[in-house]
Formats: sequence, structure tokens, C-alpha cells
Amino acid sequence: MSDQIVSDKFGLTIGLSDAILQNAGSLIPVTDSNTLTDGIEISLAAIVTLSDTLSVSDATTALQNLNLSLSDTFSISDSIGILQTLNILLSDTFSFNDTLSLLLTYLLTLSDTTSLSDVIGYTTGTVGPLNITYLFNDSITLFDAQLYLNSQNLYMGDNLILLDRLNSHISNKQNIPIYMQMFKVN
Amino acid sequence: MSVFAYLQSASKSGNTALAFPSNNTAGNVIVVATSNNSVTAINDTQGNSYNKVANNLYGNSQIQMWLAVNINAGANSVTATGLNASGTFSSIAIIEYTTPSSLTFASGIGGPAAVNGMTGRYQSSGETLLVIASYDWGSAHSWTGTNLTVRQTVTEGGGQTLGIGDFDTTTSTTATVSTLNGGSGGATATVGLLIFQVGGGSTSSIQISLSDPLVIN
Repeated sequence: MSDQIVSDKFGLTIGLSDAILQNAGSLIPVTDSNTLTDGIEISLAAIVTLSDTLSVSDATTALQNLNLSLSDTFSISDSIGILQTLNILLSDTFSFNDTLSLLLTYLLTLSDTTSLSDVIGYTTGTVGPLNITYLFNDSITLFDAQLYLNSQNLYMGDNLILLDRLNSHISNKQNIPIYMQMFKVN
Repeated sequence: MSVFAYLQSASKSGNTALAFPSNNTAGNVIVVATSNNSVTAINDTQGNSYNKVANNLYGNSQIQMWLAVNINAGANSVTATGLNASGTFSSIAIIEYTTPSSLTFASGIGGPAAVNGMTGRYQSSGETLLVIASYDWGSAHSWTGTNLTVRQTVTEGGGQTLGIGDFDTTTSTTATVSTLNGGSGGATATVGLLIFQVGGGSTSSIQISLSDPLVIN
């Protein structure tokens, strides 16, 4: 299958090598390998269940309501223009390797490792509720309303340019050495 | 006003000599603060003898305080050996305080002692001088205090600031130093020097607190 696939259901192994222009409400259950290698321009409510590997390797310009459940590996390796309402449940590995320019309502639940290794242009409303480790290795230019709950580890290795509403509690204690010098009356 | 009155001061970043604006007066004291714990000696062109009376290390911040008593009269420039030429750990501040001719140098007591948070008994407020110096490690900051008169501040290349000031203990014996860090691993090291007269007079209590709020811009 090489051209202009509009929808597909019940396929065990699906290889889609060319452009999918409109794919609304696509449901792909019990799929061992699902590979989308070329340009996906619009995908609404894509749902993938019990798949072992899902990869989106080329330019995805608009992706809304992407839900993944029980997937072992999920990787998005190239440019993502707009990604809204991304939900991931019980996934083991989740990684963004290249440019992520806009990410709205990014929710992670019970995932083991999340790494954002390259440039993040704009991220709003990141919420990680259950012992999730975040690794931010490169430039983060804008963060709004960042919330960290329940003993999470946050590592920021490089440039953090603008950060709003980061609440820190510091309990430092310092003794002040004071020298006493006497003078006496003649 | 304390019998140990402020006379003049100067500050700068760099390891070259720092001159007083006017001639020193014989018998006075000179207080020196440096933003570097590697400073091994303080010398001046009047041949005065300096002793390190306090030092502190807190986070990235380092600070020392040196004291010369019964100084010589005349034009004077002060040099710190071991100060960096520029950037961090390069600042020096100097202050001359008057000492009444009715008083003579006795001896130092206590050494570098941690008395923060304690309530100690000292001489009456008119016979006491409290000098505080802080080195603030942050990219944005101010250095203020309740009842504190800031005499000198000098900002280094990375935004770090050395500040020195004294407290008017005749107004209040409760002193507070506040520094504002820029949220980039800021920390402030603070030292103090209490000069007082023994013999006669009543005693009073001096309390010192240090606040270091973290501000995210």
C-alpha cells in the first residue's frame, strides 16, 4: 500500500510509506508493528492499543488527541509542529529526539522514563503526577505553570531562560563568625 | 552615635592597591573585607599591621575580614595578596573608623565566633561598633538591612557583590542584613566585627539576623 490511505482497521502488520492526508478517528487494535514513515499532515483522534512499536519519523505538522496505551516504545524523531492533548498510559519509554516546537496539555501517567533531549520551543501545562523523572538536557526557552508533584526529580543541565511560577522552599542555615575587639579607657 | 565613628571608605574589584580618599588619622582602626578566602595578607603604604579576624565560606561565596588598630597617619593605599585580578573573588572594601584618644587597644577576644542567633551582653550602644560584610553570589541582588548603613558595595563580573556596612547601635540593637539573590545558585557568606569599649557603662544586648530570600525573575 503506497498512496492515499484514508483509514485502515484490523490489520496485524501495516506499512504505510506515503502520505496520509486525512485520517480522522483511526483505530488500530492489537498491532505488532505500525510504522508511519512519511508526512502525516492531519491526524485527529489517533488511537493505538497494545502495539509494541510506534514510530512517527517524518514531519508531522498537526496531531491532535493522540492516545497510547500499554505501548513499549514510542518515539517521535523528527519535527512536530503542533501536538495537542498527548496522553500516555503505562508506557515504558517515551522520547522526543528532535525539535518540538509546540506542545499543549502534555500528560504522563505511570511512565518510567521521559527524556526531552533537544530544543523545546514552547511548553504549556506540563503535569507529571507519579514519581516521574524528567531529564532536560538542552535549551528550554519558555515554561509556564510548571507543576511538580510527589517526589519527582528535576534535572536542568543547560540553559533555562525563562521560568514562571517555580516554587522553591529553602531551609538554609548559616553561622556568622563575629570577632570581638576590645578597647579600654586610658 | 558610637564613640567608634565612621570616617571614610573605598572599594573596587581587582588586585591592585586601593587608596583611601583622604589621609588616615593616627590611632584609628581600618577594617578590610575581601571576597576571597585565599587572601594571605593585607598590607598598606603606611606599614600598618593587619590581622585576619573573621572568614566564612557558604556555597560559592567566600569572604574575609581583616583589622588594623592604632594605625599611622597619612595618605594610604591598601593591597590584598591573593585577590583575583578580575571577575569573581576579586573585590576589596576598606573603611576607617575613628577611635577616641581616651581609648587604647586592649586585645581581641572570642576569635571568629558563631554568635548569630544568640543574645550576648555587650557594652552600652554608645560604646559599641558592629561592622558586617557579605559576599552575595547571585546575578541580581541588593544588600540592605534594618538599622544598617551600607558603606560600600562593589559588583564583580558575574554579578557577585561584596558589601560592607555598620550598624547604628544607638538607634537599635536589633540588626538585620538582607540580600537578594538571582535564583542561580545564589548564596551569601557573611562575617562581622564587634568593636567595643571595656570598663564603665551599662551593658545591652545586640541581636543579629540574616535573611536571604530567593527571588525568581
